[in-house]
Amino acid sequence: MKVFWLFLLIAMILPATINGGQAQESAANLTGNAERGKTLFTAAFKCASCHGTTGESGSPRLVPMRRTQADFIRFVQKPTANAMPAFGDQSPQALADVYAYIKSIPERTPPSVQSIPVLNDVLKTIP
Amino acid sequence: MSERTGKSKNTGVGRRRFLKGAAVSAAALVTNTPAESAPALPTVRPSVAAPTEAAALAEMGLALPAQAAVQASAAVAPVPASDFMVDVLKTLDLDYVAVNPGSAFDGLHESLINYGQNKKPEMLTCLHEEQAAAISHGYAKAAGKPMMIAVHGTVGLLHASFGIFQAWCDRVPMLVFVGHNRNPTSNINRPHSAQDMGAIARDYTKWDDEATTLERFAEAAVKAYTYGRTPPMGPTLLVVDSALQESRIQDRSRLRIPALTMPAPPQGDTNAVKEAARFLVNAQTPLITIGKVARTPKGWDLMIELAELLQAPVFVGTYGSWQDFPNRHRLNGRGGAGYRPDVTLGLELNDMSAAARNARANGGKTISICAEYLSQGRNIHDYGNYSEVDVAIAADAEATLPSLIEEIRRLTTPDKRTAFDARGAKIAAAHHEERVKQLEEARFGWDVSPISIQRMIAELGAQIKNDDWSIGSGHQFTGDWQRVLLNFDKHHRYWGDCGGFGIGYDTQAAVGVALANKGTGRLTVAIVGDGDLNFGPGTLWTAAHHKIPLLFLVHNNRGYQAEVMIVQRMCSQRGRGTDNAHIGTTLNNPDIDYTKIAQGYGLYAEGPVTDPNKLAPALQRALARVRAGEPALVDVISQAR
Repeated sequence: MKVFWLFLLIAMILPATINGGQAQESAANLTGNAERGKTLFTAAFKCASCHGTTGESGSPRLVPMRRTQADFIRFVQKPTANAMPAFGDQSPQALADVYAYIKSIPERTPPSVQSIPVLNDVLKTIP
Repeated sequence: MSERTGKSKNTGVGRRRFLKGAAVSAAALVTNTPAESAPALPTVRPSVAAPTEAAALAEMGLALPAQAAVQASAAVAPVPASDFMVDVLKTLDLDYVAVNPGSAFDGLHESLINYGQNKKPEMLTCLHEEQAAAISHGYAKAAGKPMMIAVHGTVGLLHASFGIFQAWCDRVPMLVFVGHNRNPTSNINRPHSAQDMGAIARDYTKWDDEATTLERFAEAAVKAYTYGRTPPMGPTLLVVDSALQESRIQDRSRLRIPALTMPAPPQGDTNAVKEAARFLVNAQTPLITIGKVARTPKGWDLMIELAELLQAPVFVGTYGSWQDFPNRHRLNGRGGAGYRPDVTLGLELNDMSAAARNARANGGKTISICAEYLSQGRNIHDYGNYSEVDVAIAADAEATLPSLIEEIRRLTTPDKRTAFDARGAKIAAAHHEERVKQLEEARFGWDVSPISIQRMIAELGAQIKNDDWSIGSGHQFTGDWQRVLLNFDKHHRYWGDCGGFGIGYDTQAAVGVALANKGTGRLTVAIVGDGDLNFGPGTLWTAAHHKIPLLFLVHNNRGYQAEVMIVQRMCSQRGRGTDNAHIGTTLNNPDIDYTKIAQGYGLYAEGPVTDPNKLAPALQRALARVRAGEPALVDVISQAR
């Protein structure tokens, strides 16, 4: 009897695991369109509402993007951060496009606080 | 068109006022006033016959009531009762009264501007009663005393109610005078009368009364003033019958005005304060958390004294909190990572429930000194949860600080002092590290367009750093950047948020702050969201008309950006897709031109500024106008958040 239940469990889990693996693989293999991704980022998905139009000025910052494409898509579809809305309804391709846009934003080392006069003035007031 | 006057397009004469004029004329026929013997004036025939009260009543099958004629007679009496009301108001140290005119208080209105010579209180013309209330709200915080608003029955009070509500939640005093036509004679005025006028705003006023005699008015006005200013403070409301305002004083010598004696604010019980001091002195890691503790500059100084005496960190809160402790002070903050408070002192915090629960679970102690214990909560859930603190002191915190400080000083031994100083050095190091880290964050996106919020605030700070500046707006829509980038080193730098977390406060209340700052040498600035500005743009005109100098910096992110994410979350939680989340949350197509709006109201205005490198020059030009004594606006296209 126990063997029966074990087979049943495996039968239930295995396809999902295979499908999940396939989904991950396909998400990783998608080719994103950065230009379309920019439109989705700024206008459709309103990512800029929190992250800034270039992913630099908001919170959390998205540049440099540390996640892989597959991880990014998985996270955006089902985020673990409470504040982040889930975009589970969006296709992996659309999210791959967004990912491509974020990755296309050049990673820049911001100027130092000391080199920005107005920030340097603030720095001097910190005890 | 005002709902209260129903102005005739052709004559420009308010219907309500015209009806009254007609009634006065009718009364003159039977009362032998000087009008009877006045020389006849040429007849001017309007293109459309103006309505008369008699005609209006005839349409409704009613006759002109005798009372209307009596009231009309009283309105031209040589000693109007409303003159006495002005005498009363002049004893209350009221510098301003903000109004949108209404016939139910035109008796008082006339007395204020003629008999009272429009001085103390001086009348401010507002384009909406909510603006009158919000200006009064901001003014009271910055001036440290209330001003008055006068509103028409029901309609005016309802318009004002949101501003009154915000002041209630913010525990800010405001004297609300409501003109009430108790015996309306037409369909126009009936909706402006009520069985219980004060009930309209009773849920968010501290006290209200309806004066039916002049003696009662004098007492009620003094009561309303003292109750409103006594912690916990709040708006108070006085309903006054329009007929009483317009009546004749029979014998002025029989009327007296009660002497104003402001009650001392409640101080904490001596034994309870001693117990609190003992907890704090014996604590290893005390933490002071504060709400609106510094009612006055003295409270600000006392907070610094308390913190330095204990060498304890002072946490001023996050979203929507006040800033009653210098943000650059080395003890500002939570003490750094790893600082776990064993005793937490809450000052004017209406909810310490979470801190108290944590402390009880971990062997810590909590103390609350708060005037909210003396507040009878009304319908609005602005009061906090029950807090299981160890020492609860129902008192005004600022008034209690001197005795608490004295007791702590008495209990502090040299050994304790050495330990306190060592603790303070660690906290100061943590403060420095945290502030520098926050500043490092401000660099990111420094040159992007739309302009980052941090750049916008930093550029503003750079332009005003040599002024004695004061911010009239809150900070809830600019995150923590104001606290990171501006130096709140004085009590008057920042006046807190709106209290009730309703939108529209910043633009309107900033005018009140600027009004209080006018003539003091302080430079008033306000960072207002585009969404906020749209709730009360008419306030710009009031600022221009009354030459109230301040800079409006519009944080124009073209939408209700805080809501975007929330709607998206709801869409995704319900599995219906996020494609439509922009509907109802964005302000574009067409983009709103705030520069033109401000110019239309008579302000100097620039924008939209999209290039971050052009922001500083734009601010310089606008601030030059403000320093010269006028309001100005700069529209900045900004990042969403």
